[in-house]
Amino acid sequence: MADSRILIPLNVVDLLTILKKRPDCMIWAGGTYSQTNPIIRLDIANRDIISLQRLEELNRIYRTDRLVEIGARCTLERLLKLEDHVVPAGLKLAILSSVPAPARSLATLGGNVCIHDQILNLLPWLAIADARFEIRKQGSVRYCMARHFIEPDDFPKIDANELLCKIRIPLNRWNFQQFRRIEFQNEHQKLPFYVCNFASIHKETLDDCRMGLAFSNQKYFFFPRLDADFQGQRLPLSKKFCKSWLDRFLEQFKQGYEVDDPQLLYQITISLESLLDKLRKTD
Amino acid sequence: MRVNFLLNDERYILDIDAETTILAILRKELGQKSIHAACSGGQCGSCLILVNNQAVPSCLMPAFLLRDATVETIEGLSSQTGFADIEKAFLKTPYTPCAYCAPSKVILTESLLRSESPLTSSSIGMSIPKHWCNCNQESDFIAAVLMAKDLRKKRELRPNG
Repeated sequence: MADSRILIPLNVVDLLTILKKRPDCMIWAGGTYSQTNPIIRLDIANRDIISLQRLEELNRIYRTDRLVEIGARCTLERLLKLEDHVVPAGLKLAILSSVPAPARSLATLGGNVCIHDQILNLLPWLAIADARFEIRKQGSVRYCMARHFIEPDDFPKIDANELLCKIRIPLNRWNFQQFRRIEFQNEHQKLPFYVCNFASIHKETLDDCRMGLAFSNQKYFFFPRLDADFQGQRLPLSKKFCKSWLDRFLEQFKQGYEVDDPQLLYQITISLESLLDKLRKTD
Repeated sequence: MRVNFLLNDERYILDIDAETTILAILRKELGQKSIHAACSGGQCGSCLILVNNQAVPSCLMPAFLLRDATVETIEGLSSQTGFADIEKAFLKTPYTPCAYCAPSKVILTESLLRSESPLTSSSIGMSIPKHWCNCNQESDFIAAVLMAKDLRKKRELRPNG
C-alpha cells in the first residue's frame, strides 16, 4: 500500500494554510494531465495530494457588465454548457478545438492554464483576450496578466505555495473571434500551434483587431505594430491589403524567431490566410 | 485511504491507493467488464461511466474522487426503466453500435438525456469524442440521441411513467 495521503480542504483558507506548511503537496484539480503523464503518474504514489474536489469557492462563475470571473476549478464541460453572454464564444471554440470531449468533464480551466501542456492549452486565447489571473497564497493575493504568466523558460509564474483561484476575462470588447489549433508534424518533430483572431467590428469598420500565433510550450508571439494596421479599415477587407499584411507578418516572424522550416511556414501561412479570409468576408 | 460509494445502487467501501484509477477498480475488483481500457488518455471515451449523473472517462479519474459518489455502469443502467428509451432509439434509427463501443455510447446517451442543458444536434455533436469508433457515423448517433430524448419525454408524461 502506498504511503501518500489525500487532503480534502473545504475552503480556500484551509488549503492555503496546508500549502504554506507543505508546499511539496500535489494540487489535484481535474487530474487529466497527471493521469496522462507517466512521470507524474508514478509520483502520485509518493506524494501527498490536496484535492480541490470540495472547494465550492473555486467553482463559481460571476459575471458583470464588463467581465466574467471564472473559478479555477470550473470544468470545461460546464463552461461549454453556459450561454455565450456568460462564457465568450471564442473561449468555447478554443475548448472545443483543444480538449478531447471525454476529458472535458474532468479538465478544469485553472488546471489547463497552470499545466501549460501540449494537449490542453487555452492560454493563448486567454492571453490575447487580456485575461487576468487571481493568484493567492496565505496572507496575500496578486494579479497576473495571462500574457505574462509564462516565464521565458516556459514555466508558469506560480510558486509551490500559491494557488490560482480565479480567471477574469473582459467582456464586450470583441464581437468577432476565431481560434484554430493546427497539429504540425514533419519528420523531426510534432509541434501543435494555435492561431487566434479577435476583432471589434462597428458599423462595417474594424475598430481593433488582434492576430496571435502561439506554439505549444513556447512564448507567445504578438505583433502589435501589425495589428495597428487593421484599425479603421472598412469591411470587407481588400485582397491586396490582406496579402500585404500577411507578407509583413511572415517576414517579421521569420526574422524574429529564426524559423526556416518551409513546411511549417506553409502551414502558418494557410492558417492565417483562412482567418484573414473569414475576417475579410465579415460585415 | 478508504472510500465509500454507490455502484449501481450497491454500497461499496474499499481501501485504495492514491494512484488507482476507477477503471482499474471497476474492472479488476468489481467485475464491470463492459468498461474498456483503450487509449488511457481520455481521448476515445471507451471507458465512460456515469459519476453523479455525468459521463466521465474512468481511466483518468482517480479512485479517491469516488468518496460519497454515485457510480453507474451499463450493468446497472440496463436494469432501469429508462434504458428502454435508449434501446428503442438505437433500434429504430440506423445507429447500431458494435459490441465493443455500445456500452460507452449508452452511457454517453444517458448522460446527455440527464443533462439540464437543452439537447440539440450541435450540443450532442460537441460531446462526441474525436476518436470515434468506425462501426457507425456521428450523424446516426445524433439522430438516435434525439429520438431517445423524445421517447423519454413521452414516457415521463405518461401517468404510470
